[in-house]
Amino acid sequence: MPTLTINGKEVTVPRGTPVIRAAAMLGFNIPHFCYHPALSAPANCRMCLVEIERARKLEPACYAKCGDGMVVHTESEKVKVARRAVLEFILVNHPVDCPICDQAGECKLQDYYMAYDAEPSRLRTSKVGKSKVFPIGPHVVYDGERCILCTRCVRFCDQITGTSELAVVQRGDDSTIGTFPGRELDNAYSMNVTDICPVGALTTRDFRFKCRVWLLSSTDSICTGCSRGCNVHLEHFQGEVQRYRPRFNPEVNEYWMCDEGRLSYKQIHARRNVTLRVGDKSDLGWPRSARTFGALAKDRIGAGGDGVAFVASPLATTEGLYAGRKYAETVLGAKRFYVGGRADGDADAFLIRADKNPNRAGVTAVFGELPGVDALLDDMAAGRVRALWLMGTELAFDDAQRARFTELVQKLDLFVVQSLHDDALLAHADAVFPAASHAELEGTYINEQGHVQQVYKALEPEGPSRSDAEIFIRLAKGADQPFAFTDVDGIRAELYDSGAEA
Amino acid sequence: MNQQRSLAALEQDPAVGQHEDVMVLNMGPSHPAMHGTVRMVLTLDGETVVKCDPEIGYLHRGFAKQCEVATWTQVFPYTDRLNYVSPILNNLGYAHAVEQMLELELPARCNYVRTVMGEVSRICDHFTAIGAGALELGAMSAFLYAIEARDLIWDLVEEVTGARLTISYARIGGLKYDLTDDFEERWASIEPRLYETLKIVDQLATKNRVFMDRMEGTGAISAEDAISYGFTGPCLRSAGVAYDIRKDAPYFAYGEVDFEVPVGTKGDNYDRYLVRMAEVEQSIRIIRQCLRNMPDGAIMVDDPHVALPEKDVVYNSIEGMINHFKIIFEGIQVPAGEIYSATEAGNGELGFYIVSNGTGQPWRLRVRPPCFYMMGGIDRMLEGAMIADIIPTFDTINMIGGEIDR
Repeated sequence: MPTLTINGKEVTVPRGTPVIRAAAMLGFNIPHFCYHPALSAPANCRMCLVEIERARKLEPACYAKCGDGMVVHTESEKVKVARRAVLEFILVNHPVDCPICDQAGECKLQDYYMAYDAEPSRLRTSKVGKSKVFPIGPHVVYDGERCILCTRCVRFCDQITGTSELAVVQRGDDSTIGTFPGRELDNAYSMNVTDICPVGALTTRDFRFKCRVWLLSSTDSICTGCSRGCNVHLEHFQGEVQRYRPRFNPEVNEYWMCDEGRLSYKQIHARRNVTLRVGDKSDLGWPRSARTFGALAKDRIGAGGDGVAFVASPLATTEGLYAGRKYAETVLGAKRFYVGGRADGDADAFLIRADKNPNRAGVTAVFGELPGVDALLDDMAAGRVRALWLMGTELAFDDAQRARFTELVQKLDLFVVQSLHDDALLAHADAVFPAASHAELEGTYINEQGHVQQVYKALEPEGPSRSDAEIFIRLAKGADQPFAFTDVDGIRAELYDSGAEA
Repeated sequence: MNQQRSLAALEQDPAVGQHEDVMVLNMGPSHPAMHGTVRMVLTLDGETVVKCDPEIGYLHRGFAKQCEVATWTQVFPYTDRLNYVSPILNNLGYAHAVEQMLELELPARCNYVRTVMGEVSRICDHFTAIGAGALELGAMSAFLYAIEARDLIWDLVEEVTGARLTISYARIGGLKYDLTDDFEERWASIEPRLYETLKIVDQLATKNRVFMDRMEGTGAISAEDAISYGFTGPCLRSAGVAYDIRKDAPYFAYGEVDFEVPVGTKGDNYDRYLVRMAEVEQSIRIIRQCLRNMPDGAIMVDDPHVALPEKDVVYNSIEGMINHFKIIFEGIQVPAGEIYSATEAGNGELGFYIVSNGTGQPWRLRVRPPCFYMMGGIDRMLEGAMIADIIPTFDTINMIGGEIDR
């Protein structure tokens, strides 16, 4: 455990800690481009040079390991001159692109230039031109002129995904990031390189020219693409989600997320179900709809019984599921419970999980183990189900099963759909309740590792849609059997008291 | 319902015309003399004001709150709209406060140009106050002459700044534009006319019997009271206290010019009028000295963290582009800390209390407008006065709706 002094403050760190980490522990921010805590340190940007007493010359703080009795200065005059020189050198060939660059506003080059350089240009020749707008992969665009060759992207592909698509090609002024002939940057995590790129050299094709970053508001959220539940910054502007960015969580996703998950924000706004309908009336508003449905349900199924089935959604929040179970048992009188959700998909050994539902563990925590939709279809075909509440239209059916299911629901006494997205099944439902997306509510998801992770409300629900929990609370009230809780906090209090949480 | 009685019957009734109770009367906010922004709840005994309860708040834009979501530079247009009769003085007062937080040393020419334009603005403020005050007492001609003088000044201001009212002339660390090349010439051409106008207004009003009767002895306040209420500017000086920030804590080029601080003795409306008249002359003196000694040089500090780079540098080098981008989008980075800084505006001490958390936007910004405190003391000045005294008193304290935005 070496003890060293940085800018006059002493700190003891584990052996092998780079100086840049030790400085950060003391609150000294050393500027850096190429260093990334999850990647190896090649010390090629030279931005983090610091003065270490008795060293022959300035040392890169990302590469130099802390030694016992070391005395480090991060803000000495020598260091400042070196930083200015490094920045001037990096900016020599940098294009005047800020107005058309997606990175502008979250660009380290901009930040550091103002903080550590702010000198005018001394360039008297023309800049070296390189390839611009080069589609280096299906999701990523490369701009050679903006690139400062920090090689973070190269090391990401080598060390994190292990796919090694990228390399530095050519030499000197002509150096650029390239793929090997016939290959492209197409691994399942390719868009992470745009996050770690300190400048605008790598940008996502999805976010390109979509929104200036300083206009975005950011809300902490969870990716709902699979059961891993990667932590994200959900970034939105004017009521619309613009992008996800991975949020650091060493237990779940570290700094990363997969491309499919990153693009799954689009489902928040696509094909939204904004129909609130009871019987043939779709203009009642929530309070009257809830009362009308209460009467309708009473009329069709009475006090419930064995024929009343409820399909829980592993895409809903734990709070929504808890309110759903309570509603199904006490108000509908349901006796049969099933679990729906998306069909399994691809998986890998890193972050992508086969179970494409974010909260299957939550369903298990609230309901226990439930039979799947195959069992539901069998029970319906055998006439054991006369009323069905469908939470979410995501059902793991093949085409034939779906056709059979669509046929069977039309014979039910009561068929209710509560869904986020529009679906053909909605037309056959006796009542349709629009559900809010995870960007529009507060709640928790339990990931496959058992981590209870919270999402926060970023946007107002679209149209008449409401969170699952609110729908059940309203309907219970409409049926004159109100719950003891009226909001998510109340549900949580009850949920934790009952010990149902995993 | 009382039966309607004939006039003859009323005249004979001994109870009619006698009153025992005071009457409560709302003056404003829709009264022309109240500028639509103030209401006075008057308790009257006949025509005598027993109690006067001024109510502000009819104009509320949330100046302080707006500033918290603007960058330091974006605050300038809001300051234009504080005292809109002398916007440059507000611009400069705010810039001065932020510059002190940044510990900036301004170029000498910038200080001189600021002094000139500030005094030009002060002349405009005083002429407006004098003219409008006379007008509300019926002196239409005096008003027209004063407004003519103001228009000459506005032409000059427009020539330099490009705008007449909402000017936003100052920048943190300097000014938007230098004086025009022919500024001295233009000034030389309007200066005699300003003197002339001052003389005409003086002849029309100062010894006018009606004007004197309305002004002398009305709305008086003692020096002690004025200080205790927080009066500053002409209102305090008219009571005999020679407090002028330009003299007592010189800023810009005020330390290098020679001028007097006119004071009154009685603190009444007439003295306030006379102090303003005398101050116009002093302002002209200051301007003349500044123009004579005007140094050469830049009008912005040479600091890339504060001043925007030239446009051709912005468009043709990445260094200039980044510099411009960071100042425009993130704002000038003002070190964390707080400050109270005051300058002498048209109506007195214009203070800015600013807290910075080290970012590109003010964390908290409160303005101490001079006439807010005069409004606080107006009930004292009007106690026992006649209704007719309200008008000149309200005029000579020169209440500006934009400043007392609360």
